[in-house]
Amino acid sequence: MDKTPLSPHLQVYRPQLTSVLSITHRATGVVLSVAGTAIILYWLIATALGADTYSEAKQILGSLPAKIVLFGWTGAFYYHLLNGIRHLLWDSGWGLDLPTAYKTGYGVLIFSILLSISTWAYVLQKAVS
Amino acid sequence: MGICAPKGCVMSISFPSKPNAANTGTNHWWWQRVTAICLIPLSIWFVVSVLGHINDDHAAASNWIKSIPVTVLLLSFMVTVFYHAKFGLQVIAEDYIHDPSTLKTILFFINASVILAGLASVSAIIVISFIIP
Repeated sequence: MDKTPLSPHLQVYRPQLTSVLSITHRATGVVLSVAGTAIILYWLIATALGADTYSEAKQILGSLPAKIVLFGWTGAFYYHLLNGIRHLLWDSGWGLDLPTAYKTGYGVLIFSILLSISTWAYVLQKAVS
Repeated sequence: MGICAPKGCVMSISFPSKPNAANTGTNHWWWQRVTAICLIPLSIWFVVSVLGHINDDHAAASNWIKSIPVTVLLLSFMVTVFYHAKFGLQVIAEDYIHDPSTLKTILFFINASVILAGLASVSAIIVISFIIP
C-alpha cells in the first residue's frame, strides 16, 4: 500500500482567506447537494401527491425555523454560484494573481450576503402583497 | 497560440485526467464546467422563482409548474444540477478517500443516490405537469 501523503492535506496548511474560501466552495457544494436535494424532493413530491400533502409541506417549509434554514441555504447557494464563476474565470486564465484573487474573494463574500438579503426581501415582500 | 496566464503560456488545453477507470471516457473535468455554465442562469431562475412561490396554495403552485416554459426549465435544471452534483461529489471523494475499496463503495453510493434523486424529481415534475388535474 502506498503511504505517500496526498494533497489536499488541510491539517498542515495554515488557513488564509484563499484556502478558506476554497474549502467553503466544497462544503457549500456538499450542503447544497444533500440538503438542497432533500428540500427540493420534499417540495416536488408533496406537490405531486396532491393538495393535502402539499399544504402539510407548505406549513412545515413556511415555518420560522424552516425559513431560517432556507435563508442559510440561499446564502450557501449564492456563495457557491459566485465562487463558481470565480473558478470559471480562473479556468479561463483570468484573476490568478494574488491581489485579484483576494479582491474577488472578498467580492464573493460581500455579494453573496447582499444577494441573499435582497432575494429574501423580494420573497417576503411578495408574500405580504 | 496557446492559453496564457500572468505567469506563462501553455501550448493547448489538455484536460487533466487521472489514470483510473472512473476518469476515462466522458471527461469529468470538462462536464463539471459545462454544467456549471448552464447552471448560472438556470439556478438563479430556479431559486428566485421557486422561493417567490412560497405562499402559493396547491392549485397556484401546480398551475405554475404546469405551464410549458416552467416544466421545461424545471426539467432542465434538475438534469443539469444532478449531473453537476455527481461530478462535484465524486471529485471530493477522490481527493479525500485514499483507500481504493472504500472509494469504490462511496462512488457507488454517490452515483446511486444522484440517479435516484434525479429520477424522483423528474417523475414528480411529470406527474404534476401531465397527470394530476
